[in-house]
Amino acid sequence: MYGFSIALQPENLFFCLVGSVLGTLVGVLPGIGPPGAIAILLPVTFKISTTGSIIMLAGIYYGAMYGGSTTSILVNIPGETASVVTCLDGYQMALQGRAGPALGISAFGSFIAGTLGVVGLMLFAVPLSKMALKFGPHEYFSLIILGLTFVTYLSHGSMLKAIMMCFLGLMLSNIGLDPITSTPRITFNVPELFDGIGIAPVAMGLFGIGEVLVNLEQTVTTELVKTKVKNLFPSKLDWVESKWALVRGTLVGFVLGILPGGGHVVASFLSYGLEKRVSKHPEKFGKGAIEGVASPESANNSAASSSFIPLMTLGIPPNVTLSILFGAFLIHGITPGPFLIRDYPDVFWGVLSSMYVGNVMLLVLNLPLIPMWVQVLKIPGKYLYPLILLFCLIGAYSMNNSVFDVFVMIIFGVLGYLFRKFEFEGAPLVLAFVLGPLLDMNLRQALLMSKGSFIDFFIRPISAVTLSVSILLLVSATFPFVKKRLQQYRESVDED
Amino acid sequence: MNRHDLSSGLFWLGISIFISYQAVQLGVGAFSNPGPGFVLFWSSLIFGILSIVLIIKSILGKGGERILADSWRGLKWSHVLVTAIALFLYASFLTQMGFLLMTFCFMMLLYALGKPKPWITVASAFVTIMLAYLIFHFALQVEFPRGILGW
Repeated sequence: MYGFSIALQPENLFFCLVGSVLGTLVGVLPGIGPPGAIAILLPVTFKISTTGSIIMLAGIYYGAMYGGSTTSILVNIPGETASVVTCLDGYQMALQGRAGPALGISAFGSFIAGTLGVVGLMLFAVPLSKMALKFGPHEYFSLIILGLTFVTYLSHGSMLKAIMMCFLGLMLSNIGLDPITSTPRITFNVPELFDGIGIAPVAMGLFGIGEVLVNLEQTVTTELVKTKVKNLFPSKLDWVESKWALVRGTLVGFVLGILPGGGHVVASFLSYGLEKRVSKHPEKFGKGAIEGVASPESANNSAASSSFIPLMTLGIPPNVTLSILFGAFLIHGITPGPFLIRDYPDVFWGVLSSMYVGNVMLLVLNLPLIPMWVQVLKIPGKYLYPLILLFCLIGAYSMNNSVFDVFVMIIFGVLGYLFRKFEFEGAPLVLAFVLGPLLDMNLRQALLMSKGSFIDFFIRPISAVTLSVSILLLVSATFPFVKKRLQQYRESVDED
Repeated sequence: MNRHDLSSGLFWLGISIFISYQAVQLGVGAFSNPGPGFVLFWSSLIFGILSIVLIIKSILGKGGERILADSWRGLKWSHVLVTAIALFLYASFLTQMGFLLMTFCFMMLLYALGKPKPWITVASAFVTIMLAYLIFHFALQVEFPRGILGW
């Protein structure tokens, strides 16, 4: 109730609405995802209260999960990576004149899963926070390694390149004053580098500018399905066919959302695969099966909610979007982690409660607004992309009223474009960049405590388990069977 | 041979050597007493080893036959080049020229890439900067560089 008293304050309700609507817009528009959008809007939140800011930015994240399905179903272009699988059956349903039920089950499924995910988040957060208070540097180091391992393991492209990006992120995070000895590291006596590179210019560059540059060289033509979107409320038969898909999708999404490196994208792929496997009619999948829409859409929304658990309880962002949100917390002077509930209960419970409110808003607003989102898709790229660039430039400048941040963002923008060309992923870099200072400090503290011995990492139970899982994952990736399955997964993502 | 990966592998190897050198200068320390360059050194070392693996894989042709131009063939890469140069020029002269003037020129250039009629380009750029100024300067109180126009 305390959380709702904060979330329902007019100011916070407004930011929740803005976040949800912007998130849907980001989900609808191909070319810019939640990481880019959150990074671009980060500087705007400087004038807003901390709770309001996080409520808005979180709204963008889960709102994008709702919006992504609209383009997948109507245009066969996923607005968001997590909605890639929705194209397979959603677009087929639209071609068969069933765009309405596809959009309807997607919205209702998203709402049910998103809400259940928040319930789970509330149940798990407090006990996990209490447990995390017992964690020492060994445990934190091992958890960070597990998160980074998962991100590289489940990367879309080459695993070797993903691991390289992780290490590049770690190196970049070392720029600035050493947190223990205050020695300037790779600063070249540039005063602006003493505080290190900010997460916002890096993320805006990689996911905002880089994305726009890639889109500028392509000619994308979107063909909307020439059918009227009607019967948005799924029929009784649709509900019967998709009810278990919704349940399984929610559960798969919830578990994968908690895992570091998992997140909504993997959840949607795995839940679709699971649904096809358990279905009595697997041959219908890919030809317009409503379960093929219900399952991934519920999974990605459930994962979006549960991924807040490691961020808010352990202070470890499990995916790239939440790592930017982690940066937002830090910018507002709050360190997410086990002390968040104790020190900032208004932020913690306010944000959590706002997620219930946001899910209701998205359901109520999105179905009637589908015709508007369809119109948004018609905005030509030649007007949209310059506007995104301008937002990035203003955003980067306004953080510190400094042209230096603008340069950093542009450099990372060009790097982001080149990464795409040379098939390197930005996500492992950003996650490692955000977790780098934590890793650096915890590793050094752990080694000091254990007098240089690495055995302590394998004696402490939590550290031993997490490090063992990381090692197993890395080793298993070299097994032919696992290698083949990973390759298939990566190819399916790349093809779509 | 995959020249694509070979060139990126060589580039990253150079970066890793440079960072390793910087880390050693900072002081790597010992395992029992890690210095400020500890994580930096080990990260750059592993990064360098991975770069060598990438180079070897590319020479052995594991990533398939590819040349650098493959990634830009059939694409409007000139748009990207123009935009990137414009972005750097924008950041370089923003303080001297001022937000309004510099952004107007920048937006005109970007809109012109879409080849609309000249008056649409000018009008779109004008409307965009006015809206941006209203929202960010007046509503969100962002202080932009005034530059030669003094606004």
